[in-house]
Amino acid sequence: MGALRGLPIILMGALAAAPAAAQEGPLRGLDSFVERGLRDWGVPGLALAVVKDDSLVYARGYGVREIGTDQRVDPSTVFGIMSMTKAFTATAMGMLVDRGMVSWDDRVTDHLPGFRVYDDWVTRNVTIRDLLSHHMGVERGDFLWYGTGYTRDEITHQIRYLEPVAPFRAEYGYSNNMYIAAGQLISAVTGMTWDEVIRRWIFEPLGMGSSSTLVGDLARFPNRSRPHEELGGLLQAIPYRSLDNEAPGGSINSNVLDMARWARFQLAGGVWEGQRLISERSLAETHTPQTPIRVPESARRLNPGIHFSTYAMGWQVQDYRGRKLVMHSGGIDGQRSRIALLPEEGLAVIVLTNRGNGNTLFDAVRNWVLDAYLEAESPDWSAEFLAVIREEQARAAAEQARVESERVQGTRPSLPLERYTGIYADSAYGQARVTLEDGRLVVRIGPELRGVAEHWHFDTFRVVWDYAYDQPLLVTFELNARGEVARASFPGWWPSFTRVGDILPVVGGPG
Amino acid sequence: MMKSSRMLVALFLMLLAGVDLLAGQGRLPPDLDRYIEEVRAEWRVVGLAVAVVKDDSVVYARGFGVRRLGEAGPVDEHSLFAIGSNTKAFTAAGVGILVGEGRMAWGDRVVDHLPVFSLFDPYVTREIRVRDLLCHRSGLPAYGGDPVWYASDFGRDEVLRRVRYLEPSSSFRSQFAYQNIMFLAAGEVTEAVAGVSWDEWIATRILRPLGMTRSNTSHDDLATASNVAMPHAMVNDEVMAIPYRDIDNVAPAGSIHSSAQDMTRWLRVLLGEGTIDGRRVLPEVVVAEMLVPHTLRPVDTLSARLFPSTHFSAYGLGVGLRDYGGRMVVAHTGGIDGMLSMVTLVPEEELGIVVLTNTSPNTAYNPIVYHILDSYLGLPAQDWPAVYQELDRRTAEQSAAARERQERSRMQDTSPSLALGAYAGTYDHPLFGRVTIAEEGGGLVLRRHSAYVGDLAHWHFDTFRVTYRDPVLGSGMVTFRLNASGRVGALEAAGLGVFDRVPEGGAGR
Repeated sequence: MGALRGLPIILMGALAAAPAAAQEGPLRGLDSFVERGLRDWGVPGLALAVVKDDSLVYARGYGVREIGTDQRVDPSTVFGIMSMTKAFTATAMGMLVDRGMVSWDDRVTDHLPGFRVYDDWVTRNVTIRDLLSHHMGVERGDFLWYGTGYTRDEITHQIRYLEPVAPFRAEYGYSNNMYIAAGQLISAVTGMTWDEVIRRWIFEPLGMGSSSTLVGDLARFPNRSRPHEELGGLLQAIPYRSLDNEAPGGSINSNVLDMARWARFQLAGGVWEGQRLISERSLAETHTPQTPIRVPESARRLNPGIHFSTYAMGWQVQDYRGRKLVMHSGGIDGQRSRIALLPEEGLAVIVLTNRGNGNTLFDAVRNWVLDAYLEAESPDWSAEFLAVIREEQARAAAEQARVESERVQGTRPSLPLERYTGIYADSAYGQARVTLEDGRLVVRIGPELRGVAEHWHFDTFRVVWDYAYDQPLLVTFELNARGEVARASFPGWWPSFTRVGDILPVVGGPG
Repeated sequence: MMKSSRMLVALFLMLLAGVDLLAGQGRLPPDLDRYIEEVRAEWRVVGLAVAVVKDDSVVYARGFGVRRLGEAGPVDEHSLFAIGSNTKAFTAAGVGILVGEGRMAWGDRVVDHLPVFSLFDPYVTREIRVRDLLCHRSGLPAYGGDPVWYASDFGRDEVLRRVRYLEPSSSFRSQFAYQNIMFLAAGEVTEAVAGVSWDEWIATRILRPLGMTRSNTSHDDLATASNVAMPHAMVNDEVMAIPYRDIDNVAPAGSIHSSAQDMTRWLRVLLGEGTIDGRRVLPEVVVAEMLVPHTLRPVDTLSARLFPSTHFSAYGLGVGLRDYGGRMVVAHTGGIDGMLSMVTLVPEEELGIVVLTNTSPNTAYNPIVYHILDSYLGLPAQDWPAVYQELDRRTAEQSAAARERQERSRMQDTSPSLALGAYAGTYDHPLFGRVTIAEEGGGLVLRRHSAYVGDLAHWHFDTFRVTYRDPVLGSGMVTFRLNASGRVGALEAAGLGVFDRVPEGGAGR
């Protein structure tokens, strides 16, 4: 009974029968697979739903919403769906296309006149389709939104300062920022916030009553999962990260029952309970490959029969054992998720989990369910995925060891610590502030990221962030000819921040 | 007893359903000779050659029909054919060898190697990369600019120089659009980096190391070759032998001549990820780069209907890619006057098929390829000849309907605005070059390059139909434009564009 707690009464009948079906039909053995998976992976809780031929055939929660409690996950438990949000943004855009308000190939600047990127030609030619297809060729730039106080408008403005990293439209390069811009475009065209559009055009017609777009909305859903990360070898619950400023790329919170409705709507080509909400053509466009993705060898092992991997619009599309698989994953601090549609089979799987780093159990479950319906010979997917994760972790540990081994012993900073303090600035990412507190350098980037910098070697320091699940990273201070600190660089994370001034002592106080 | 009879029933049902009992352990279709011969006869293909490579061995190589209609010389696996656009993969591999040697990179800007290279849009000119040249995403129109090289007197340099006047039809890198001249550019990049002609590079670095001893890259090489299949065209439903078309001016896009036997060497080196007989000819990463999707193509409605197992279609570098029956199929067709070919690879099955034919148009290579593919992939057999005959019938209907529509749209009882002599003159188009109109023997004659000589017949108003004396070149429509002073100021050639009249004594272009 525990697994069904909190379920709307109207669904009780259908679902009460479902677990029995799982014991007999294609899903026989699923429960024990997932339960063993939770143990093997150390994932506290997971919810899944399976849709087949326009029916919700299975929905169940496993484990707990928060470790150390006995609050069971059930099908109504709310989780973050993160980047699975992108398909909502793309679908909303398709609804605008249907209304004649935009075309996929409209120039972005026709609707968002202030939109700019690094190159004037690209600025003039970038289309709505480009925003949604991850091939802009600019740096990923997640630190525009992750842990910053920038608004969606400000992030959209800052996109102009992101550096090119690949030729325009030549390569796949994931960009959350372009989805933020797409959301702003939707808002500009409709006169509503992106959140209102999603609520009124998708959540409400589909009856997705447990779905919302802002972190503040979570308070309305006491039956919600907590994110978990491993900190110092110990798995613990952590707060939800606000994704409000990245919303069109990842802020939706939902449950597997609502997501099953979304999946049925997608599989039905845009019809919900006899009502067409988006034209078949526009919906199909969001499922149509736009950008090829190179498939690494490790991914081949976990995606049997893959020959093509592509990004469509809001969806990743690949082949899986001879079928077209339309899917998306979601991930942020403490949460990982997956939605997978196999349109030819009328099949969908939704898996929501409450553990972050080192967790791909959701895809082991995905493959298990897909293979069950395809009657394919299935390896122990949990073990297969676990093996790949272990390899990745071993590689990361080796990399960490390499960094440690390259640390030069017996060096000291060139300057007294207070000379490293100051305000550092970058046109895209704004200010970094370095202060001296209790004899240690403290680095702050934006309103949320704060870390302590410990001396590493020469003028390089290692920053350990207060959020321990954000990896420590090295910052190198560069001196100019006058022997002053000119720049602070965080290789691979941010560009170099230029030192622009001193931190002025606070003079006086409130009068 | 019960059990075995039930098995027999099951066996019978499977046979009825056309299920190959050897599914999963594919094989050459039985009775393949007869199948191919029937297809050849049905499509009235004068001669063709087929070869199949499986698990690094040539398991089939045969010729059918004759090299030249009315003559006895049979086609065999050594007969030379034009492989047309199947040349493109050789060009990509030729570039790849330079990449492998560290002499250039796929992502290099074209202008860094060819400083004079220029396209219509200055941004695209400075941004286009070598890789873009090889995967049809330049934004230039599909087949755009082909009349610059086809049956033209321009050399490679001149063809490439003129491409700057070709206006783009789609935003840069936003769509697939087949572009021959970009492959010419890739060949010119090869020459600039390698320091030898594209032809020499392909011959010395690919054809010779592979032992493709009968293959060559130039029309000039045909004169001394033996066992050459002649091209044939279907003119007014009659098959006739025609000369080889010289396309040396766009060679990197399509000029190679080869035999089925030689092509098995090429299939084997691609299937062998760059090695053949234990020797490496192409870097492994180069073959891999050729066979990954670079430009996505829509799966059109016809393909979706004919091939329900196809979900993806893309172009690699010089090759087409799609999924078929759960496998990735690498394929390309090649076509030039009187010659049609198809190369097909299924890397995960270590399967390669080449079909070379000497008659156009025909679609006979399709049923042959799919028949062999289905057998090896363990897919249910289909009546591919019937499928393609039906498609051909519909294509023929459509072109007949188009001809009829054109006839119906002809206005009756009009006459030219001016005396015939007033239309004579020289006309110029920045991309396509010059057309001259002369009054000869009471009629008008059009000339463009040395190949196009056509007689004009009045159609309506100032429009004429031009019928070329070389039947392969067919016919077209030409409309003269009168200016405000009542003189002919320009000529519009359907499918090409507007040619401005060059003033008497003017320099023109």
